[in-house]
Amino acid sequence: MRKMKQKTDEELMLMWTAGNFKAFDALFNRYGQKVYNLFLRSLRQKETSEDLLQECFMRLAESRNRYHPQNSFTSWLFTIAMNLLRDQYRKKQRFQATFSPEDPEPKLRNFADSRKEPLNQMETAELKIAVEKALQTLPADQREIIVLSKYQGLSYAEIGDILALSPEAAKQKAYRGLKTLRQKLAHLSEEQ
Amino acid sequence: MTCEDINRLLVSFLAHDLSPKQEKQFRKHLAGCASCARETAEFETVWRRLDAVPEETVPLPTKETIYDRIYRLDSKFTKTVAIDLWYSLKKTIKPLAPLFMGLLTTIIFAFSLSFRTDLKLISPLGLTIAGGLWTGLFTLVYYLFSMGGNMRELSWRFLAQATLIAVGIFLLITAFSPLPHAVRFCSRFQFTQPFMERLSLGGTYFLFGTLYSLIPMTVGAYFCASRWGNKPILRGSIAGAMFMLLLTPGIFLQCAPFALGIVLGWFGGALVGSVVGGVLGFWARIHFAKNY
Repeated sequence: MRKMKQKTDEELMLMWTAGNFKAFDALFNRYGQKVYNLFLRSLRQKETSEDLLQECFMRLAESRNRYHPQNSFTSWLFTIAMNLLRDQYRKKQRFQATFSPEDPEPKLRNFADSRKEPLNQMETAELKIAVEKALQTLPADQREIIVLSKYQGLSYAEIGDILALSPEAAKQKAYRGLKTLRQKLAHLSEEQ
Repeated sequence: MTCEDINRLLVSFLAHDLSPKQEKQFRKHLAGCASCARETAEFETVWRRLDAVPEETVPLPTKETIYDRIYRLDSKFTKTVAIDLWYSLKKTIKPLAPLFMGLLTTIIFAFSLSFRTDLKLISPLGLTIAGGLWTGLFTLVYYLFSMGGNMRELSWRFLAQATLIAVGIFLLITAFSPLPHAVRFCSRFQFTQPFMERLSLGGTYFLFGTLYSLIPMTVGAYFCASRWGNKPILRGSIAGAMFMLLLTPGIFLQCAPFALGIVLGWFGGALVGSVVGGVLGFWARIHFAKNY
């Protein structure tokens, strides 16, 4: 019998549906961190991201009997995640309401850490804040696509599938988002 | 590859989402086009800068909570043999659902008819044929209903839906006022008696047969027409014909004691009422419903 690591997502999902808890463990090890970072990068709120991660895997567990192995597991999982993310946006009306630019916590934490660090690490922390901030200024749909493509490594066909868009429309939105980011990050030096 | 193509494929290039052939052509264009090369370089910088946001690991307490919740859910719902059996049974019986529903509806109809029809007058063979035909027709309509359908196209699903609603209403009406009872009542009622005397018994059954199918079919079609946009005559006729087919065994079981003229009048009325009701319902909804 092949080890869990060698099994495909779809095989693991079927095993989990049949009651094999180890299959869930393997799936969580593959995707838990990815989904968590999707929430974290989209919301910049640690606690909310943790709650959403829990909710996402609970929904996956509850809906697993409806899963068909012909469908891509990644699309299934990220569709649940994106639905949760959108519910979260809706709860707060606008994303800007959940993200308070005045909130000094991330900056202070990063700078507090960086005080003991060399100059280039301080620059990295600055760059991280600038990129995070620039990402938050994007419209939610553009940010979602960039996050799914850049950080989750999904193809535009998969992204289109998850967000109910054509791959071309997803590419266009990503292009517009990157164009905005180029402007927002133009002030950074070339090395960064 | 043109500059426009480069623009279109740029994000795929950054995400390594291009085929080797496309990537080769992409790079070839960049080598000969300074403006595209500059724009690509700028986007590559932005793409690289996005790496500045590092990936964080899931906090251990969160991971433990998730595992705990899922383990509890699993032990509650899927760790029992009974639940496993239920799921496999559900999967197996799903394709048989239209047959099951068809059989169930036939039994309900036959049961409701058995109280007021002398079924002894029908031969066992006739009863078997009527029951089998009825089950088959209901199964077919439930099967059509279980199929997917586009709301804007001629969809069998919604035609079947209209038919089943009409059947439900018909069942209710006939349960409270069976057609032969209504005919008898109107023949004795002082206001309707003179009119009924002018009609032959066959004509009376034609009239009542028409009304008894026209009302349910009009209502059923009206409620389902909101899903459609046009062709009321075609849709109404198809749904009406399906409704009539479903009524046929029921009429057959009820009309055993009657003369041929009455039977023909009843069937004729039901056919006219079904088709006219279907067309009328769809047409009315299309033309009068404000939210259409």
